[in-house]
Amino acid sequence: MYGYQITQRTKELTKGELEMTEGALYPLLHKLEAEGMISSEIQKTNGRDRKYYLLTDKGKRKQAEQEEEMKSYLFNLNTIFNI
Amino acid sequence: MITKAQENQIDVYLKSKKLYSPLHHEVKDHFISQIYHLMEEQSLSFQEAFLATKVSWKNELELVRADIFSFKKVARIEKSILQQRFHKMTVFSFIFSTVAFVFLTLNEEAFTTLQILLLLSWVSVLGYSFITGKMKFSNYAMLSFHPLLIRNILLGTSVFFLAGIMKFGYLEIQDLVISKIFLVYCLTIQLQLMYFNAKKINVLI
Repeated sequence: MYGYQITQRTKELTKGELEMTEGALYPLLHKLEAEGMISSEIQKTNGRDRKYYLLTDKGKRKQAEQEEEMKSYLFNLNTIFNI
Repeated sequence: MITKAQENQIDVYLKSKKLYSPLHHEVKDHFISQIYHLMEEQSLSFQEAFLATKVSWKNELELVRADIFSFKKVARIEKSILQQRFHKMTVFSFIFSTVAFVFLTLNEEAFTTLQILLLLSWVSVLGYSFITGKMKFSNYAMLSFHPLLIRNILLGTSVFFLAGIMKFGYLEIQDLVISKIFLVYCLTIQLQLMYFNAKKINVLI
């Protein structure tokens, strides 16, 4: 996915609830790339360079880990408020 | 569809924001995609969509001082990326200097060897950067007065000033362990700056 696509996909999936600003997105992408969580490749699109970001194996492992943590957190919240 | 002339207009605007080349290309692609979608979805003209995009990026592209110790102005979005990089460099140099301090307390000769190795690496990387054209004199000037080094110099000066107040003599101050650690810290910062500069990663402000 490329930068603009990420912002649009986030908006689409959250039905506009979550809007990622560009000021937060690009520094975050560069940070994750430096940490080896994502990698990037440049592809030519309509004669110009487009930078695509891909999850690395390390990133995929971290994503699964974070997903588990989030699920457990939501489960606990649900348990507390549904007493 | 965005025409070549319109693309050039976007390019000229972004060039005025002095973004570092890889970020410039990324932001330009974002601008073009955003403008294109606004034109398609809201039936706006190019100028209207361009204006709306500029407004949505206003905060990110506002020119601010790159650092409190730098006169260079960069876009806010670039500043955030730079600050993350500088933070990592500072942490690395701090850890390295701490390890050097341990060396110094355990074995002074090993520390001297470490200092010589660091100096040799510094000279080699600098020479390599100049020979291969990866560093110009202007880059060297920015490297020498880099905010990360200025901070270190200021901190060092205050330590020596305090040592002076505490009635240490000149030779005693010169022999202070901390002065050697400051030197190691400075060298590791400079080595990292040269390394990133050689890899065409923006660090010089």
